[in-house]
Amino acid sequence: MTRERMVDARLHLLSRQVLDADGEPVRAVDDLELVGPGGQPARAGAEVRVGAILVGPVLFVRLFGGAVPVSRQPRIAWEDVGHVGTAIELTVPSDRLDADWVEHWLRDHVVGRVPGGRHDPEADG
Amino acid sequence: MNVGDLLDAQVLGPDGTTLGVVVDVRFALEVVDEPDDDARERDREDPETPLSAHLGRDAVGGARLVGLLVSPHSGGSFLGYERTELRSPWPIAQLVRRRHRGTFLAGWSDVAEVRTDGSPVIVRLVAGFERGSPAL
Repeated sequence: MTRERMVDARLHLLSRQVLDADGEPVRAVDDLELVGPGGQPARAGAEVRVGAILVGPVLFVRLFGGAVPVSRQPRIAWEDVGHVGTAIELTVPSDRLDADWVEHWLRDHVVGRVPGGRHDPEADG
Repeated sequence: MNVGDLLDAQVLGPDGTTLGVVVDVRFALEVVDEPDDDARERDREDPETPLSAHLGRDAVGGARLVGLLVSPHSGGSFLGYERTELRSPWPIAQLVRRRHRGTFLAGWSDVAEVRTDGSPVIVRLVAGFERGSPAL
């Protein structure tokens, strides 16, 4: 029989740092998406699970109000979560995640064009 | 539906009376791989190892929604004091316990309806719902 551990969203999950498989910080948990069985929309009273960690551009929403459309929120599938402790650790490297697409786009299109921008300081040892 | 929709939602009883607000959402994390005591002991003996390389760590599976923590007096989450046996520092613990007195766990199966179209979000409980203990 598998054991279960009780966690509370605000106490243990929200705003926690998300680390990828290499221990690199990815994002912080902004919200959790709830889904029903088979990926159906969550219904009151029926079985509901966490489907994904949402890591959205919440700063603008907090400053100016409103809400980011769900389709526009970058997400990390809950299946990729390996350990929940002081941080939430994933079993996949961050390059495989869509959540960092803004950073990857800036790296390829802006930072990479700056002279010296493709230099990897960690490769120098 | 997101957890953010449920947090701070207004909770109504079956007859429409206000019971409080949702201060937290509880999940049961499936533990699929549990470390043995030897692995935990090895971690303790080797404090130089980074936390991410520790052996004594469990692996988690799915997270099932268990219920909603409903506080009748205060909308804020209060540091987990209302859910544990922690008693110190004494003045803060007393203050938090007072503000969260009457907090209960409403099981998700006792939730009849969640209306996310308005503000605040409304959670209505079924008739004969049970007030569970908020302790973790």
